[in-house]
Amino acid sequence: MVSEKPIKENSTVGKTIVKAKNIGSLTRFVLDAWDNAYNGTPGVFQKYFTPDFKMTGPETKMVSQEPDGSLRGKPSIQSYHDMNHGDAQAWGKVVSECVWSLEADNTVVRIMRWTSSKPRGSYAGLENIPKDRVVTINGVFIDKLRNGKIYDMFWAYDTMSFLVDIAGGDMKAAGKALGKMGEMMEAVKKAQAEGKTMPMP
Amino acid sequence: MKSEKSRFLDKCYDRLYSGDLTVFEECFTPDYTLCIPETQLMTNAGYLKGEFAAEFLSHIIQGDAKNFDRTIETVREVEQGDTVVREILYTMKMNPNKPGDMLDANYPPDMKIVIRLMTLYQFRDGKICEEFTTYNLLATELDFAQGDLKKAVAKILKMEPMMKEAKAKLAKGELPFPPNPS
Repeated sequence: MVSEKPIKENSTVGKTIVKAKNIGSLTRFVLDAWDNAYNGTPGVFQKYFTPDFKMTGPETKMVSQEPDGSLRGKPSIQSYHDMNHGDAQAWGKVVSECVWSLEADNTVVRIMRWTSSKPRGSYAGLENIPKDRVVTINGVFIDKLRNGKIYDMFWAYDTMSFLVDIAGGDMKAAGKALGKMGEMMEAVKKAQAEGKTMPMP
Repeated sequence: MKSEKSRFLDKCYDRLYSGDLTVFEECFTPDYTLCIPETQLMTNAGYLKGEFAAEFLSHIIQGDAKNFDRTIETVREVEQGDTVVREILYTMKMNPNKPGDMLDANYPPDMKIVIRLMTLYQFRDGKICEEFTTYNLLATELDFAQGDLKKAVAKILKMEPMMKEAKAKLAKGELPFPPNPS
């Protein structure tokens, strides 16, 4: 699960910048887990996640075979790795920051901010994205831990606003791009059903 | 056992969602900030401020209630200091006596949409000064379209002029939606 392309020098995905104040040990553990998942560190699943680990987010909902839209077990971490690398390669620079966090009852809530800039041309069904476009996502993540490992992760962010931002505020262009993404999503879903993984579009 | 802040939130938002705007002065700071997917789509700043923001939120929620049977359930809550984080299930269910969504009346009669929201409430001096809510609006549209991406795209394209108009109105300081759209 080693990444095919190295992380770009000025990007921070896989080495999250912590801006949150006074973060605790659980948050530190969770951030390490996801940075290592991103980096494809060997043994990451066994070290940080329970065997019955489940993750649910906007992307998993699009491709999951489960009624709750989740991905489960070790393949879910591979999918996380693949989808994030797909994203990172579409942009010249991606900065990942943990801007806020809270810990209580073996639960870590964090707000993560990703700022993507220097687009390489096309992304999420949109073509010829202007080189100076900068888009930011603020996502809320909840990681739940059992016996010192993560057994559940849920994240939420608004993919609609993200798509409209990439389209420079043009909702019509965003809608058309979404239509183009349909076939790609179906291909990912089919691969998931066959137990394979493939980069998200 | 609910905390004092949790009970306060329930009480304030119940009143706001029912259209009681007198709650603002009592429960919210004058500089209250609202950042939700709708404000991100409809404003340049990405958020709204003050009583205007509260009224905007109230109108959106009342619009949903007019069109669907709606329940709001907090399934998880974490509190630390002046911050409360809630995971909320926001359910909209078809009701034969209600007109359904304004843009598409052809929904199955038993349709039920469940949105999983993450909300952070920030308090200052015992009042709510900030609300940040996120959820996946695109996935919600996909659920409304019964998983049919083409149908979801068609609805988004249909929404575009309405969103543009809403954005222009908000920029002028006008509320884009009436409290009870018909």
